[in-house]
Amino acid sequence: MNRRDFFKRSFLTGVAVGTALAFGDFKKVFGNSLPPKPAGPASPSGTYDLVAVKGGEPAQMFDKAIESLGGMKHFVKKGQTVVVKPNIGWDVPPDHAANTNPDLVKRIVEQCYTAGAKTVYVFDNTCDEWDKCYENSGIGAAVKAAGGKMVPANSESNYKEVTIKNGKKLKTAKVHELILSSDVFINVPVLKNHQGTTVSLSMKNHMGIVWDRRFWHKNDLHQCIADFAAFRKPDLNVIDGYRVLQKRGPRGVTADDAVLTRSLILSRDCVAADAAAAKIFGIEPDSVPHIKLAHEAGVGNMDLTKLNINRIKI
Amino acid sequence: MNQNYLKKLRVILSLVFFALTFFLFIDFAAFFSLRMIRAILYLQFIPSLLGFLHLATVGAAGFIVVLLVTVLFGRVYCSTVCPLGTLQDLFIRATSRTRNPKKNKFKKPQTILRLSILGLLVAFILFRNIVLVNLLDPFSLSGKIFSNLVRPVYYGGNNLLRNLLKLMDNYSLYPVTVKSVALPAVIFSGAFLLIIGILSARRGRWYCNAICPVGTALGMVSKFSVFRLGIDKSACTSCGFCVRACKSNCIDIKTKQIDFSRCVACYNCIGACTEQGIGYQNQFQHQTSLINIRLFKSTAPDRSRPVSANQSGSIPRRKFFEATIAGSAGIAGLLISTEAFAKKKKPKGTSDHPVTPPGSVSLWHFTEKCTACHLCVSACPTHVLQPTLFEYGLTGMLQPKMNYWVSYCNHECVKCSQVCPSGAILPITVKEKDTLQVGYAWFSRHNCIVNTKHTACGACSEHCPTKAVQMVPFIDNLTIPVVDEKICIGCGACEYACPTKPVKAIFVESNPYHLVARKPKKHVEEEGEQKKKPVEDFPF
Repeated sequence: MNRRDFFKRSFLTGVAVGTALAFGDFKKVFGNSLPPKPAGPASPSGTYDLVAVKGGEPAQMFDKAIESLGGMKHFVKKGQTVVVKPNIGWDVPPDHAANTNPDLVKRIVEQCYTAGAKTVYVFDNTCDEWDKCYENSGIGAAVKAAGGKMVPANSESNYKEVTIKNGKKLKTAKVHELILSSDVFINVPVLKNHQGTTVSLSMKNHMGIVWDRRFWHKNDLHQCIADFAAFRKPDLNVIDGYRVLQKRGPRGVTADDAVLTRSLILSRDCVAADAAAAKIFGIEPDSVPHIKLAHEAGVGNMDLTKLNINRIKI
Repeated sequence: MNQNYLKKLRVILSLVFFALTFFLFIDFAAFFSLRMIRAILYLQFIPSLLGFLHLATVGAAGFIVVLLVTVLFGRVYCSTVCPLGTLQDLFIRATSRTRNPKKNKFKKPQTILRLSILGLLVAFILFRNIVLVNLLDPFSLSGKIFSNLVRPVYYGGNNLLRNLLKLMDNYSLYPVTVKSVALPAVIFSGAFLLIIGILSARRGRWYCNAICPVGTALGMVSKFSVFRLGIDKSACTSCGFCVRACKSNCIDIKTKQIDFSRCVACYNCIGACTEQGIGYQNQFQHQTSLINIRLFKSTAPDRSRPVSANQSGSIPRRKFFEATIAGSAGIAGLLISTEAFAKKKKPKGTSDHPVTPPGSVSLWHFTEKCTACHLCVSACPTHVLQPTLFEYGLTGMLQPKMNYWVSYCNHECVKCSQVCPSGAILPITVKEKDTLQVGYAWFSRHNCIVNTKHTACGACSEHCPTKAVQMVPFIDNLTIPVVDEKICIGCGACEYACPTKPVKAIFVESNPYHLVARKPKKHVEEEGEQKKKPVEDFPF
């Protein structure tokens, strides 16, 4: 080893150690080589901050995940009204993965009813024509089969103006009345690429419960998303990572843009859920400004090392 | 000759045709199948004729059926198929109590006026200009009224009912929004409705016999119909009941003649005659009446007034009309040039010409064929098709365009091309539409939020169905759009989504001739790399 090699190696080691320290995510460095923790038995609600499932079918993964959080009855009480908000933004078939998986939505609605829900509403303020989106995504039929109510959300009259406390850019927003009036809000986004906001996850999915999205785009999109996330935190976030739209999101062009990933994230904390989903997508959570902003504003915790995570492999 | 059943038949037929056509123009839920729509529109004269001129097929031969019926029985079309005819009948019926039936008399035909209008219209069409059809065709006029005036009201009624149902937690109806009110079209339709309402209330089917080009054309044919309504002179007591019942003022009781070229075949006179003295007669068995045929001259001279008074009354009017028509022909001639409007300068941020809907081939094809019936405007699920005023030039008034401020063209939809009755928008398939370029996106960095405010946006790229608009790295971890014109189809999703106002940072520049875009790239080809394989383990 000559002097030059010595410097080179020291430098590289320094960089490696420094990077690891800087990210403060030590477990990650070894994490991948360790076997995942076995799926624990059903634990009382609140034990796990986040549940991540891999390798199953959408409905199956959800069943496992919700079971490990103590079952749907911890989220939905008898006689309550529930709003399930998937991403149904686009007039494309399910294999494009631009919308939430219909089987997943169906199972969530079924579970809500099993838990004793009075009514389960499903809607999205779609980007394409709402009726075509509801139909072509397969979600309309799936929800109806499960006994849920598909509610059109295409009219401004159904949105009520609310004040966003502590909003930096977003001071007011028009929110769909069902979000305001329902007892339980279950957020069911799909994990996908988004060319404007890098990824589209739980917090980005909130853009489908408000009326004027254009204002957000015009006034610092990431800040608006983070501001709104503090307004009404979902009672449960279910991120559908069964098929992941890797490129050309949020709509995609062909089914080729999606990759079968078979994963699912469940958490009460939308920031934590988004952080975990970002990792699955292959990027660091803090590289997505709205996740970072929401974390800093105390909406949730994006630091996965500080969370009690249940990892389930099927 | 008891032919009283004819009126009942006419009323039933007219109401069925009217109701179907009416509903077609206000429906937002795509209630009718494509086949039903075609069937409803099949017999509409002008659209069918225009469609036939472009592509002579059986599917567009409805006007021939109308002509054949007219050759046999006269202008049956005018009192059954024609929506404007039935609309006038409704007005006439609604206001029947306000009129003194005794004042309903035989009137002289407006021969010069109606022939001049028809002649001018034909001349215009020969010069590839459709403005007179646009302004006078009864189907297109009815369409404008239904689409621009009735449809918003219908939407409102639906929303009201929907909100009532919603109170009962019933979501079977959904709200529809009038995304944009095309004021010029509303004003035009409103004004015409007022005029036709007053005209019909006061003068019956005057419009049909003085202005309507279809009425005139069919009148020329019905002059020679095989079966014509006639008065049985042996039965007639000259009581005048038929004259009072006549909506066209075409029965002359003095000579016991019916001017069949003006008769709209409403059959009111048949029922009005207490002697059952009016009915269809086979004209080949009544050779005598053939002698009376002189094209568009009233077969019955008006003897009710002295000849001198008659002349002094009618000639100045005639001259007035002639002068008017000559004058308007002159003005119109100046406007015939379709090129003139194409050179108009516009502020940056909008297209030079209006974007025409997919299937309309070119600016020229569309403006030469579109009668502005606004059926596509009614049928468009995204409401991107909106009536214009003079954006296609003066002679293209009220023809619709793709208004990307209001909405955008749904990628999987070809509705307008399916419903267009005149062939202005030719039928296309979804597959053809995938690469049909009606225009292309034009991006201006100077107006883009990402550049001006340094915040993320990407609304345009988000909505782009072909990803002709891609976000590429910009400063400070931001991304900014770039447009690949070759794969852009000009759907306007980007322009619609763009939040910058009043000047959009991205807009669709119209293709005067529609082109074929390249197919959107496949993700793998584009990147030249393998798809990311999903990680087996949890990355956290």
